[in-house]
Amino acid sequence: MGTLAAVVGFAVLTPMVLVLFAVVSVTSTAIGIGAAVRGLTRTTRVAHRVPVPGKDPAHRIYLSGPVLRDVSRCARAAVRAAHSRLLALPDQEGPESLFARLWRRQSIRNHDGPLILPPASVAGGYALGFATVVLLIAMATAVHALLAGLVVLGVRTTACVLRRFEITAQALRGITTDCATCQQRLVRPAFACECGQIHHNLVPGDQGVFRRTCLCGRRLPTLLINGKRTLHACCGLCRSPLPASAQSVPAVHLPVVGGTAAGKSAFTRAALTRLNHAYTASSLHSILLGDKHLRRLVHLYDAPGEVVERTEHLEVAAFLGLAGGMVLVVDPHARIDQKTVLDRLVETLAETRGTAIPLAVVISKADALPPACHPYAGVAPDPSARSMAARQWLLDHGRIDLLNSADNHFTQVRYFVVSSQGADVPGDDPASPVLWLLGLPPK
Amino acid sequence: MMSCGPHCPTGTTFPVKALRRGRCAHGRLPRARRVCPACARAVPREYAEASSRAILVVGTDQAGKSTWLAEIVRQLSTGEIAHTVPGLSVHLLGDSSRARYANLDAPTTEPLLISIRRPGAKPVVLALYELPEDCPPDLFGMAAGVVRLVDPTRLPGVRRLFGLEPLHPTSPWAHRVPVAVTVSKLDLVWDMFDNGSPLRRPSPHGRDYVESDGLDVHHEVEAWLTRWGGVDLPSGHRCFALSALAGGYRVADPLLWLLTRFGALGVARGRS
Ligand SMILES: Nc1nc2c(ncn2[C@@H]2O[C@H](COP(=O)(O)OP(=O)(O)OP(=O)(O)O)[C@@H](O)[C@H]2O)c(=O)[nH]1
Ligand SMILES: Nc1nc2c(ncn2[C@@H]2O[C@H](COP(=O)(O)OP(=O)(O)O)[C@@H](O)[C@H]2O)c(=O)[nH]1
Ligand SMILES: [Mg+2]
Ligand SMILES: [Mg+2]
Ligand SMILES: [Zn+2]
Ligand SMILES: [Zn+2]
Ligand SMILES: [Zn+2]
Ligand SMILES: [Zn+2]
Repeated sequence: MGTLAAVVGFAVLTPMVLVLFAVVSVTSTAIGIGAAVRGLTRTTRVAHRVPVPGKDPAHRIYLSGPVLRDVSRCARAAVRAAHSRLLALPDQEGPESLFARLWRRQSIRNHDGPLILPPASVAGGYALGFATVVLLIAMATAVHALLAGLVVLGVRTTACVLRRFEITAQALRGITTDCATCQQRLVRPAFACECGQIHHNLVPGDQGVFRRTCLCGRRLPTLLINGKRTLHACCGLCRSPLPASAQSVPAVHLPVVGGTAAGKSAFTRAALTRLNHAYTASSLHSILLGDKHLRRLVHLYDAPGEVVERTEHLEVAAFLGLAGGMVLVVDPHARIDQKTVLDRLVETLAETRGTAIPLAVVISKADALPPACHPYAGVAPDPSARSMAARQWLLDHGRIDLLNSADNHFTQVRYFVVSSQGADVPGDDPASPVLWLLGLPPK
Repeated sequence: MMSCGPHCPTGTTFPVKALRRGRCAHGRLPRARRVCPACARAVPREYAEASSRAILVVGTDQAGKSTWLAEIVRQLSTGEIAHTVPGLSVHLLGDSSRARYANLDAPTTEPLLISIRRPGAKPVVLALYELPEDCPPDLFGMAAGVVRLVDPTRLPGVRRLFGLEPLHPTSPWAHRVPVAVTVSKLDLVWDMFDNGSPLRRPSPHGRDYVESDGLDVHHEVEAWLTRWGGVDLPSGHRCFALSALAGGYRVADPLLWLLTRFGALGVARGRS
C-alpha cells in the first residue's frame, strides 16, 4: 500500500515540480533580461556618492558588478520570505507562519481533545515544503547568476579589450605620456572634469566602457577615438597641463648640457629662432617639429651649468632619464674640464636610461675664434665632412679624451660648429643638431 | 641601495630590488644613484653591475705608488695612451674617485674606480687600491692583479753602486699571487743600461699588447733585480720597469699586461 502511494505520489509530483520550476525560471529570466536591458540603456546611480580613495570620482556602471550583488540579495530575500511564511517560530514578529499557526492550534487542541492529524508529520511536511522552495530558489538564482555573470563578464571583457587596444595602439605609435614640468614618464595623462575633479584613469573600466559619468553628472569619453583627445589633459603628479599634441605625437626629450657659460642658453635661443619658435627665458621649451611622415613633440631642456657640475644636482635632474638624445655644448675657450662634465653626465645616464642615445657635440661661440683657426676653414659644406672637420679640430686642440669617451659611450656622435652671434660667421645652422638628433633632414 | 628623490615626503633609502617600474615605494622617482648599505657612499652603477676587478698597487713607502697611479690615469684619460691603444677612453667612476684622483697624496685606502672602454669591446672596470707592502694578506685573495712597485734606490746592489748605506732588509714577500714586479724611478738608474737594452726603447705602439717586447723587458729586469738583490720574485710574476716622472716612460706596461691577463686586451705575438 505504502509503496504504491509513494510511486503514485512520485509520478504525479515530479512532473509538477518540473513544470513549476520551468515556469519560475522562464518568468524570472524574462524579468532579469528586462532589468538587464533597462540597465544597459541607463546608468543607475547606485554606487558611491563620495569619492573612494584610489578610485576616480565617477559612478560605477551597474552591469560591471553591482548586478551580481543584487542577484544574491534577491535570493537571500526569497529564502527569508519563505522561511517567515512557513517555518518561523511563533514568538517572531510579523504575520504568523504556517508552522506557528499549527503550533498554536495544537497547543489549543491539547486542552480540547485528540488531534485529527499527527502534528509531527504536518510539521515534517512543512519542512519538506520549505526545502523544495529553497531548492527552487537556488535553481532560479543559479540561472540568474549565470546570466548576470555572463553579462558582467561581457562588459568587463569589452572594457578590458578596449583599454588594451588603446594602450597597444599608443605604444605602437611610440606615444608616451611624459610631463615636461616634473620630467617624469606617466602611465597615462590625467583629465580634469569641468567640475574640477581629476580623473586619473580615464580608460574603459568598471566606471564606464565608452563613457563614464563623473560624480558631478557630466559624461566623459573614455577613449581617444571617442573624444578623449579633445579633453584637457594634465599631469597627474603636478597638475600642469600637457600640450594638446601630447596624446597624438611621440615626445622626444633633448637635454642641452655643458659647463657653466658654455653658451647653452644662447644656442637654444638660436635654434628655437631658426625653428620659428618664440624664445622665452625658461629652462624648458616644448615645440612640435617635423612633417606628417615624422612628427615629434620635442622638449628641449636648457639645464643650467651648475646642474651638470654638481653630482647632487644631476642625480635629481630627472630629464636625463627620459633623454632620447643629448646636445653637449663645448665652449672652445673654456678652461673647465669638459671631460669631467661628460663623465658626470654619462654616469647619471648609466644610472637611469643608459647611454644608448645619439649625442650632438656643438662647438659654440665660433664667431670668437680667429677665422684662420675656424674648424670649417677650407672645408666643403657637406654635413659629414663638416662633422669630421669639427672632430679633427677638437682632436687638434687636445680633446681626444672627450672624443674617445663620446664615441665609446653613445650610439652615434656628430659634431657641429655653431655661432649664436654674428650671422655671417661660417658655421652650422643652430637648428641642425636638434634636427639630426630627431632624424629629420636639415633645413 | 637607492634613496628616495626630492619629490618624496619620506627621504629614505631602500634596496634596489624594491624598485617598482623605476619608482620608489611611494611611487616617486628616486635619486639617480645607488649607495652602499653599509657606509652610504655612492656606488656607481657601472662598478656595481660590471664585473669589476681589484688591482692592488703595493710597495714600500715612497716607492712611487701615488705618482704612478696619477701618471697612468692621466695618460689614460688625456688620451696619451690612445697613441698606444687607439680609441681607448677612461672614465673615473664617481665623485669619490674623482676627488681621490685630484688628491692622490692623501692617505686613504679608498680605491680609484676607473672604467676603460675601447670601440667594440666590453668595458673593463678596475678598482685601483694603493696599499703599503705589508698590508693584510687576505686582501690579496680578492685581487685580480697586483702591481708591486720596487724602488730601485732601496735595493742593496744599487745602493752599493751609488755608495749609499744599505737599508735594513724589508720583510720577505710571502704572497703567492701573480704579480707585476715593477721597478719604479727608472730614470734614476737609467745610466746602468747600455744602448741595446730593451729598456732603452719606448713601449711599442699598436692595438694589442706586444708579448715579445714584454718578455724582453721581463728577462732584462729580472736579471737586474737578481743582481741587485733584496727582492723576492714569486712564481708567476712578470717584471717591468718604468719612470712616472717627466711625462712618463713605459708607464702603462704593467696595466696593459694585467688587462691582457683578464682578456680585456689582445696580445700580439712577435715583434711589431
Ligand atoms: N661670441 C659669442 N659669445 C657667445 C656665444 N654664445 C654665447 N656667448 C656668450 O657666452 C656667455 C654665456 O652664454 P649662455 O648661453 O648664457 O651660457 P649658458 O651655457 O646658458 O650658461 P649657464 O646657463 O649659466 O650655465 C654669454 O656672455 C654669451 O654672450 C656665441 O656664439 N658667440
Ligand atoms: N726620479 C723619479 N722619482 C720618482 C718617480 N716616481 C716617484 N718618484 C718620487 O718618489 C717620491 C715618492 O712618491 P710617491 O708616489 O708619493 O710614493 P708612495 O709613498 O709610494 O705613494 C716622490 O718624491 C716622487 O717625486 C720616478 O719615476 N722617477
Ligand atoms: Mg643658461
Ligand atoms: Mg702615496
Ligand atoms: Zn565632474
Ligand atoms: Zn608633472
Ligand atoms: Zn620614496
Ligand atoms: Zn660601503
